[in-house]
Amino acid sequence: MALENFNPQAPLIVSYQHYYILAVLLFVIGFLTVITRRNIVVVLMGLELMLAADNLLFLTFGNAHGITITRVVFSSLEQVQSPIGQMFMIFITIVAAAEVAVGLAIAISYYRLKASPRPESYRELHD
Amino acid sequence: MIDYGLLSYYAPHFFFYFFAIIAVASGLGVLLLRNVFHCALSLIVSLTSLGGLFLLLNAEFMAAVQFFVFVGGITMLLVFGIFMTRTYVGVHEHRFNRWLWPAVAVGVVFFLVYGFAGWSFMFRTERQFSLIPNPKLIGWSLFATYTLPFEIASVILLVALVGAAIIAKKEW
Repeated sequence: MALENFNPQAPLIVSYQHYYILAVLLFVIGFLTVITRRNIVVVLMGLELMLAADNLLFLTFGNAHGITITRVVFSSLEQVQSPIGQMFMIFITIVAAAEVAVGLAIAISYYRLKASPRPESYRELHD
Repeated sequence: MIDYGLLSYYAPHFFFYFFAIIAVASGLGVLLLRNVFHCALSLIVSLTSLGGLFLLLNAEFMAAVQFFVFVGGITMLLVFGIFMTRTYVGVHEHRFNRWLWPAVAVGVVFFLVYGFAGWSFMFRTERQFSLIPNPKLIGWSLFATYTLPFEIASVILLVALVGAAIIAKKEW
């Protein structure tokens, strides 16, 4: 394909369905890790994988259906794409950091109590 | 005129499938590997290739955040968790509990339903280009439009980290 056929206004891009399918696939892998693994740290890794897949989904929809906003810059106006998907990703990242810190603290104190990393041995509320 | 050829024209497809295959393969590594430390290394590879995908989606600052926070911070916390819980590294026993096959069935149904829904969804087809740099846009949005959620999120992070240190303390 020659360069004069290359139109930078309408470049060939990967369609957003591919990003969507990839995000759902990673989310399912993280879900299976959370449900089926028998180690509490690997369960937390599966949670991180699910959150990362959610971030990818937010960025995909922010690119595919983000609105264009008009922004005031000093004395002029400019048209920018709304970064609402990336804002969601920032707050999800903050919540993920808080979640993994608290989850690991609970896992460590439960390991001191039970001497076992197995989630199925933490049954105080069930028995 | 230089003929860049199909290779540069299909460069987004090449990088998308490159990062996507690495992300899915190492995500399956998190699910399937026996050694817990290998699971952590596989998670690092998966999150790094997701950062590459964020670069393809016009989110350069988010890719940097992904590298620093997810790959650098959270995975390091998980490795510390492996060391602190003295997990049986390298011991080969049952990886999965008895809910493996019901969970696989639920996951396949979830993937089919949501995959079909997303595949038949009408996405916009043209790529949006932003004329100003991505970190400038993010900074302006964080400190002009979304200031209150940003401050609340920072307080939540502080409280969660202090609470984690207190929960993990040895004597009360």
